[in-house]
Amino acid sequence: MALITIEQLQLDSRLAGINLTLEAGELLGVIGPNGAGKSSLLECIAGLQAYNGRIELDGQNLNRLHGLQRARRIALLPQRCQSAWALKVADVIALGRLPWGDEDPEPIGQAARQTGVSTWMDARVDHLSGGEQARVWLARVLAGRPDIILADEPLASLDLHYQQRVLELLREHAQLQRGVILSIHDLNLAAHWCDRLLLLDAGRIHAIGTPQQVLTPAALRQVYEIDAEVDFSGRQPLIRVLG
Amino acid sequence: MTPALILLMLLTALASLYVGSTDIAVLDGLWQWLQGTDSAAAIVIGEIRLPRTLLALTVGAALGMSGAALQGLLRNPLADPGLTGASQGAALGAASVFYFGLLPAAGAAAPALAGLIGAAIAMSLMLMLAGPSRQGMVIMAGLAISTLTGALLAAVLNFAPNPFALSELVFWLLGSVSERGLDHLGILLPALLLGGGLIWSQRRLLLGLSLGEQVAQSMGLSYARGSRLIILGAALLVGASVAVAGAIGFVGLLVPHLVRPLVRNRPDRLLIPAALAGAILVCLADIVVRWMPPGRELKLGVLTSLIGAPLFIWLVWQERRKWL
Amino acid sequence: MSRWLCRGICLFGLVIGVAQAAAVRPERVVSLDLCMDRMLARHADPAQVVALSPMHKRFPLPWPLEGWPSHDGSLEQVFALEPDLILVGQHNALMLRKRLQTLQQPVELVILPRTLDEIAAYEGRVLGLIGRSPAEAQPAPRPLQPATNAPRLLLLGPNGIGTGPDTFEDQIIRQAGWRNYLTGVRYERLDLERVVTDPPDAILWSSPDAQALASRFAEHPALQHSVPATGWLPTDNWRWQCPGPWTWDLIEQLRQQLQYSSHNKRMK
Repeated sequence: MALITIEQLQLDSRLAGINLTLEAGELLGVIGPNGAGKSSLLECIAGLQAYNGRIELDGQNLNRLHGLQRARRIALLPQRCQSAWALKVADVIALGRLPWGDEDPEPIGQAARQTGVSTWMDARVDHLSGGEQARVWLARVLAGRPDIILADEPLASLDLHYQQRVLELLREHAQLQRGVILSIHDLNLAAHWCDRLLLLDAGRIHAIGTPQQVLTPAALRQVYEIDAEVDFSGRQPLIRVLG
Repeated sequence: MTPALILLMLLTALASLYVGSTDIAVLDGLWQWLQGTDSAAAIVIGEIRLPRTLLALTVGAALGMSGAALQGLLRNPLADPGLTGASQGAALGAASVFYFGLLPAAGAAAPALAGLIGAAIAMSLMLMLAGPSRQGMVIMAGLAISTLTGALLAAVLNFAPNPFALSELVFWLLGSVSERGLDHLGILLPALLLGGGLIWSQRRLLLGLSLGEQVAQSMGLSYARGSRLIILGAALLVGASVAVAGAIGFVGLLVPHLVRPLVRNRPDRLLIPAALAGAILVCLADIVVRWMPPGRELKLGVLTSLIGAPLFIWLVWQERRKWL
Repeated sequence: MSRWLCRGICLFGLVIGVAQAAAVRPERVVSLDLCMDRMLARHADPAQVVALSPMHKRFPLPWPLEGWPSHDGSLEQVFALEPDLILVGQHNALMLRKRLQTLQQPVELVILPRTLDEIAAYEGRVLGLIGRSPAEAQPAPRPLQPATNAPRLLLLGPNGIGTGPDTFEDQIIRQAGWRNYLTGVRYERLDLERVVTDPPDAILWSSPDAQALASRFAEHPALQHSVPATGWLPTDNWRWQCPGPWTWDLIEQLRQQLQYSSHNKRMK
């Protein structure tokens, strides 16, 4: 059964006619040029935007769900994150427990171990490097133990090592009854890590399906206005931009 | 942490009862006053020093807590009732009602009620002016609103029927807790409890807002409703305290910064300690005011501003370094 | 002989001239401040006054000055009235009167009395200026000193300011037979605790009609508690605002209140 079902989603001029499902155990990648509506789509699912159409979570209308109920199941990892105050890492991760109204040390500790930030629990988050901070923000999301993570370009400003680590964690999360929607710019990583891809163009779905179905030279030319060579024959898919 | 502050507050309050121009047995006086005796000691302690002390404590608590709430809500370490225009709005509302005898139905609470309305309007205008990019624009919008309300306040005092009104601009802008009776506490205390309760009910939102509006909302916290409640709570605190004691500047800025390191910078755990520390600070400042040679009473706000303004300058300096 | 005659005629002419000058009644009098308004209201014929200062509307007398015109305090309006006498106290309307003087207007500076014995001369001067006989001024009574054990009176002003010795008000209080509660400096910011622990026998405080924080000191419950209601003397505030012949009435009023107060004390 689908975790999330989206029917005829519309958001003023940013999104139109979106139909989509997120299956259990799926890592769904959202790709598309800047301004295609990737963030807007995630914000609608996270309950940040008043949309038209219908989004269902396990067959329940998302709009009918109480904010806290929704937040316990769906967590958003925003594109840019910054703490206004010099909070300690432990307190930032504990923020993920807000929808539950507790500061249960068990999930907090587990999230810290998963993301490898346990050793900095008493450090101030603003003293960490960008890559280290990104892991703390992810730990915050994991501490809430949501079923669905909406990650908005979590790889931006990360070096190759941390990009791999974050993708591994998201892949690991997308199992059993859980799922991840990931907005991502790097098409090679998207093709390698995601089960399915959604290609957005100017607020509309251009293509949806397996990476091989979506990432065709024709689609890339149409949406990104580039000529690219696509090779799915190797161990890792390869998209090379020509000229 | 909190128990230590409560103890410190009680000690400050006790010290405040001992400070005055006349030599009087404090505890005897207090006992006599409680028994309803009409001795000089009872009158000095019960009707002069005790109301003054309690008012300083409540006003300080209200300002400290509203400062902590506004800084948390606006995610700006410079937010303070004075710098966001709330204090001047409250002074405008309270003074209009006080000098012209408006809202007679509300009785003694009329200035506080008008102060609440004034503070709420000033803060709403400030938020509207600051727009969605709130964090950075708050201070500029606050400056605009506080300048406007300050000018309106001067105009109101100018046209007040009492010839001394205009010279009392100093009180409204600098504040004082001298020469007040216990009846003022009857207005301030409910406002403190109600306003503090509203803000306290939104402490989770304040914590969630550390990572931004988006994150707070994605965690199921209602920003629209919660921020309105926080503004209303802060308006209650600022409105009532300004109506009774004038705008005592920089307490709302200073106190949260002093307390923040003690609560690991968590905006939700800041609220109660900030209220306690505000009470201690204003009471201490008032003790110093009373220590000054008699004749020329230094306004309470002058003292708090002398402590607070350097901190403000330091914070601006910090902010500047952040952007360089 | 002819020289003596000539001198005699000259002297006679001079005397007549002076007498005529004094008898010339100004018909277009303008006042620039409150105290001159009051003096005109007391002594002048309304027909000879073209305008009082706007101050008299802000600090009205208990009897109405209806029909008395007033100016708005502007140079333009005062000049346009074509006055033949402009009265102003020595501390008031500094800029306005300087401008009027440079425009050759008939400005007369009147020095206000600083002691009780100067009141008669002051009244006489104003009477002379408006064309009446200075001899009509009320003479000062014999100076009196209060008994050493006389009751103490506190003259309480706005913002908790009390009036001490070496002031005009202090002379009024003592002439009426009271001792002044304050013995320090001329004007003193009172300390509430000290007043409450050593309260005066009576307080003179005129509560304003409209609210102001300046009244907070006088309205403080501790002060109301330590001085009984009979100790709060009613007063005609206007009589305190300017010195003048009405000061004698004020002293008489205070003396009566003293007798009443002493009587009460004996009854106790």
